Amino acid sequence: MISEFKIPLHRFDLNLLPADARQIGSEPFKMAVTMHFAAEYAASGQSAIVTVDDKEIGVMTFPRNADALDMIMPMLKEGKLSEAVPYLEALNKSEPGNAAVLYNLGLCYSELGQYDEAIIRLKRAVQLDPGHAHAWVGIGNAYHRMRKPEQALEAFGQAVRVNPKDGHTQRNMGGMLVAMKRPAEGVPHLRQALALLPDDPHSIYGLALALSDVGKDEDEAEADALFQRVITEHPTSPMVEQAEKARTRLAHKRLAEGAVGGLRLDVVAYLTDALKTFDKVGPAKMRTIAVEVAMLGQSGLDINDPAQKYHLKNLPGDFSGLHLLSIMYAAFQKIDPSADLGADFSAEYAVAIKAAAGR
Amino acid sequence: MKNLRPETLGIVQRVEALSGCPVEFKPDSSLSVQATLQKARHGAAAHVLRYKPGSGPLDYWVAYQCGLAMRFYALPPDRRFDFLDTGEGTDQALTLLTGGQSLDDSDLERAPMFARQIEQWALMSLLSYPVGMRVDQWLHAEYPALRAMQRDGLEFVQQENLRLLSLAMGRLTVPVPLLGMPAAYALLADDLLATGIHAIPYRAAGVVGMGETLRQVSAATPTGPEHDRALIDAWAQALGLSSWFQWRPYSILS
Repeated sequence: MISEFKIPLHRFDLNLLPADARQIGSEPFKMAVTMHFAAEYAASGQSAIVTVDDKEIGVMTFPRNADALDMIMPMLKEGKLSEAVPYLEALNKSEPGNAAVLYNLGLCYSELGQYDEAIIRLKRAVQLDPGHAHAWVGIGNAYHRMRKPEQALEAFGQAVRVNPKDGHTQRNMGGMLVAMKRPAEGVPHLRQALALLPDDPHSIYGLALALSDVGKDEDEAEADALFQRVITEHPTSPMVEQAEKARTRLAHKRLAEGAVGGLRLDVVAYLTDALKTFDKVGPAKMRTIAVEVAMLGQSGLDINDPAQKYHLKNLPGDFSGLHLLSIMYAAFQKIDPSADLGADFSAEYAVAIKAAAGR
Repeated sequence: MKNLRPETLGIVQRVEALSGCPVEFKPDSSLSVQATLQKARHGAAAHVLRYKPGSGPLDYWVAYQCGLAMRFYALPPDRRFDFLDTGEGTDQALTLLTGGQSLDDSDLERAPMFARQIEQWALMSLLSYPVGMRVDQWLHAEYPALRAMQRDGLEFVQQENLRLLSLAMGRLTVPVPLLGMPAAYALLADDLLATGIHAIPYRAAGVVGMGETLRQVSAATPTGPEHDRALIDAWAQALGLSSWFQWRPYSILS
């Protein structure tokens, strides 16, 4: 059975302590309190981790044959980090050579924003156990949070050297390189991470981001497919929104690359047709068409694949994604020109206006 | 309640036979305790045993509540009493809370509210601990098949009670004499579970002496249910709570 309780300092019965240890809060007091509980629980076949701060005594007890760190882990899993730290510190005092204790202590301090304290513990952990890749990752994360990218990268590099077969380690290294605007160097690490963690959304997204930052055509195609994986395979992931934005960015980039002399002639044609249609059907029908396209667009329009066709209830015909975006653009230029549709067809629209007027 | 052990169901049936009323079970996740048994009165056709679903050993919570009810219904109707708050306890709790220490304005301001909470907790403990400990001893002796559940339940309650040691509002904490009640329960738990660990925190807090006194009071009082009122009175006297409550003849319609 695991038990945990706290006693305010003033409530402890000083008669239980040696005469020279009865000054509340003094080091002899703290030592005597610790010894008292250790002895009491030992007599009943239990172990105790005791913490004494300036207000209260904390005691965690557990069966003697249990691993003390295992007893503290549930607190960490429940996110009770500041409550776990005193017990980990107490455990560190009694087991100063335990790298696992130092590692968990370091992670707690890092999560609590005490990065210097974190790095001290984590560096001690890797001194004791140079093969502790996760401790190196912890050091890297702490430096990253301190906005010290060079030190972070060095630590992540150590982690990769220690254990290149660890997907999380590779992912951190790759991510750091991308953050440092070195995406080409990050790609191999993120590929390795994804190979080791094939369903990990962070690795998929990280590799996609790295590839899109590299900026080569073939890389962007792969990046787009990976962003799509994040969206479809991990729909609840917080990275979905970023992935959607990245896909839009890539699509518009490809769209711009398709321009001739600064103009997309296909867009000019679509806009001109749309303006003619709107003249025929009138403003009310135009609004209805625009709303239908906008609704369709909410579930995604592929504007880079002319083979992909869509249908509207309010306008007959087969339309590509780019065609529909052009129709919506033309309509919104008449309804609300300030609306941001995510595409700038202003140059094409100016030409289309002239073309429509001169028919 | 199909998921209760036969032994527990047997205890439930004994309550039903003694009282002449069925026991209905109602899950209630809003309960602040693990289970309560509301006796059938005011025209109710059944006792209602509310329990917090998914909260530990249900057999033990049910057996414990029914054990208390059995002791009540084992008495002839004219020997049954209600336990009533006289209202005098709040002032005395306030004295216990504030006596002998210098408190700042904010502590003095909240002391009456904390005193009321302490009074209510103390009265509830006084009503349930001495007789409840008799129930625990009875369950342990008579129902070895329920011992594993009883162990889980006792350990759960002991862990919950440890919060009292650090319960505070500013510098106000639970008065030492009143902590004798959970200390006595911890001593009993150690006896029943053959451990020594539950009393250790109370010993460190200097309250195990009062716990031992209360256990001596219990040992000096005959164990039959007809002595339960005397048992509670004796605990109250030892704790200085005699004026905090009074007994009133129980009426099924009151």
